[in-house]
Amino acid sequence: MKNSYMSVLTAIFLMVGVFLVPAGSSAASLVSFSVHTPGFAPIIDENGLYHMNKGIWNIIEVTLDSSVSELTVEMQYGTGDQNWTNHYIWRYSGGVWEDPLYQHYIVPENCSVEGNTYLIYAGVDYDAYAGTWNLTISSGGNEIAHQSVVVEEPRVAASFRSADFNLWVDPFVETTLDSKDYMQYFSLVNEGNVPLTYTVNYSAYEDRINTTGKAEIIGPGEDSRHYITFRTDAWSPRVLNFTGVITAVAAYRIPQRENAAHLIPSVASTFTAKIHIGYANYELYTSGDLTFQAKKKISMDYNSVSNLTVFLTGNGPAVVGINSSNCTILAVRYNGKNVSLPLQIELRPDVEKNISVTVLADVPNTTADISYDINYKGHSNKYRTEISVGPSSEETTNADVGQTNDTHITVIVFLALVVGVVVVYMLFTQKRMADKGRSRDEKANERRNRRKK
Amino acid sequence: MKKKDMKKKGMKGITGIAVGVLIALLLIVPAGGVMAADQSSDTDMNTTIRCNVEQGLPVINYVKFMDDSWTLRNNTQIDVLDTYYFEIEATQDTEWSDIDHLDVLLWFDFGDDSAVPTSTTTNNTQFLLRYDNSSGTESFGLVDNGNGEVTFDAGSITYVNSTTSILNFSFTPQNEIRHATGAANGGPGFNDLNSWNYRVNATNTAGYTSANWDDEFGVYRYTTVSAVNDPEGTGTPGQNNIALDDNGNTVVTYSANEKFKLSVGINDLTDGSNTITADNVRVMGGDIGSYTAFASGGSTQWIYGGSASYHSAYDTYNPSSDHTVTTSWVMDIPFGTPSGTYTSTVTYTITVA
Repeated sequence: MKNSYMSVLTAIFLMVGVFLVPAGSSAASLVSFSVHTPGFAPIIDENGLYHMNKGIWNIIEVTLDSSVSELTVEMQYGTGDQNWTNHYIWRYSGGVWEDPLYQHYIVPENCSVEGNTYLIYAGVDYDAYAGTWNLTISSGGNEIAHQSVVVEEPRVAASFRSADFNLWVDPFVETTLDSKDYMQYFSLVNEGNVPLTYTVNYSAYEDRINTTGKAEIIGPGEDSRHYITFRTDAWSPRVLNFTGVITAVAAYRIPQRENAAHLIPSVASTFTAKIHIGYANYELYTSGDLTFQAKKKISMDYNSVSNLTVFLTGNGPAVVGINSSNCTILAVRYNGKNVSLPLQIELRPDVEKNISVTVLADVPNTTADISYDINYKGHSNKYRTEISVGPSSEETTNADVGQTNDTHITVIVFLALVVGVVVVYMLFTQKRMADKGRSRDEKANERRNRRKK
Repeated sequence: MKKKDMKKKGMKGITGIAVGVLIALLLIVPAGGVMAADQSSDTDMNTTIRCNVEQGLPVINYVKFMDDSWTLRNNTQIDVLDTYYFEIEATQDTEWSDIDHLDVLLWFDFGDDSAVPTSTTTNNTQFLLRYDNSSGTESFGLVDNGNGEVTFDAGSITYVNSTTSILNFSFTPQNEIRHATGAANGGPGFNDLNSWNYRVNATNTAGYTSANWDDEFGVYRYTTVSAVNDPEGTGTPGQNNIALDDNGNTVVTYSANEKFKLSVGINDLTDGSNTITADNVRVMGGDIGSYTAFASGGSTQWIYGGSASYHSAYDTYNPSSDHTVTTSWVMDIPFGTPSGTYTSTVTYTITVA
């Protein structure tokens, strides 16, 4: 009896001992906890809750005050039947990382232990519930801490800003153009809640284009600005057109587990680019293998003289006629000499021929033009430079004083009033003097008459 | 004889009147310098000139349009959401307080440089910055902001002397301020079509306005696009019209600062070496009024616009509102398709004109 009593007591003590003594190093307590996507800072809301996206790999980071040989992190949403929509367990035990429920939502080779910090590379399925989940950290069956974690829908979003790239290089110059010199770039801002990977593709000339500073991945809220360089050969005048397409897709996606059809969203935008093999501020016209460069529109002061230079390439003889309207051509020079028109020249594809036209803007305040008629390979090609001629200095002066003349009218009215007052005053004075004179004469006559009497 | 004296005096009076009128006439001759020989009139001439100066025109001495690194940005494209600055020196040759206001009017030219807007309230293509001194208390601001597509950041004045001041305005164009390509040609004035024009002038208290200072710039493209809810579904081989809405239909949010088109494209769905061709997938949304299949091998469809056409409702937009379109998806699973997880990327591409 006594033995059986002792046995019961022993059993009770043993059972109590089991509950009181933590397994392994379960006396560990939580120092810190966070959840974040690989390489990026955690997203914490105003309630202090960590956010993670479903369908995306995350790093669950647990730091304890001492090391443990076994660590379990369990996430649960609601109380329904447990499956990949609402229940996950990730475990570290004896140096092995595992997803004991589904064997899918952990990447063991990306998990690690650094001192007392346990980094679990894990996530929840794209079909998991969005909302606030309960997360429990335990070791050896003993609970260490509770956390709430907000699981969100992944949102792939980006804003794109881009120049309409226009880069210039003179003809027959081999160089590398850099859009930075032109303050032209494109940028991508991650407006969503998941890291984005992105690609930039060009519709042509990919082997000549380099996109500067391209990052592998940009996090939520981050932006990425890029310039492009373009390698040219010593080309004849031409314009090269191409488009760029920037495409962004969520990084760190968890592969689908169940049998399903799944379309993974990506977002994209485009920009255009032109490489001008030609002179800046010149219009490039092409017709077959004929290229013609001239300024499309210029401004001149009245009575001023300007030299307009045009450039031609082609392959064969051409006849150039040049005419003017509302201005005067003073001279046409070719190969450094004054020439008469029409001008016969031999065009070459590899050398530019230039013609200089000296123009006098002798009609004020008008739109003049120089027209070029290039007869080449049996075709007449007409081009034009429009000249906006300013007003004559007289007109300028008049225009400038227009408001002043109005002012003069005011002054004239004022002075007229002054003159009027002066005139009235003088008339009044004159009359008064005349009256005074008349009165003096009358009084003298009266005195004379009295003496006679 | 007495009458003769009176006549004499009368003549003298008339002569005096004539001299007075002559002096007055000489005084009212406006040509500068003509009166220089007449000393008695010189004084009056000075008075006249002084009157003219008081009514003289304000002068814009220079205008600099710069970015935050103080680089000149006229005749370049500027980016949205960056801050830009106008530095303007102006003179009123009487005294600065005679300036009533100074305006910086900015507008997209819509391909016509001759059309200067009279109102800046219509859309994301016009706004007006103003220095106002009309009440005697100087202020800077955005008179109209083109549906909120620009924010006014600051204004300040530096007095150079009693007649000349330097004004500074800063502003930030917002997302949907109108994209403008044209700014290729250098030089002052309006010489590029489809650009933003700006016109600076000052008006004095007498109501006279300075000559205009005109120039122009372009604006970068801006677009946003986002997608929530992946098209996803399950089914068995031979099953048709499977809704890919396990998580609801896909909502696409977008915006643009120019006419735009929005496309959706997919490739064939694959699982390793197994394929479900894209012609088994159909989409509906936006201008796609009924479920329409993609082409086998992959293709794109236009939610808005087309290969050569654009959706043009952009100019009613502003950054405070999102623009969304819901896309719905169905697919067929051909007989004999091995089980697996078949995926493809679905790309929503927004392109501005």
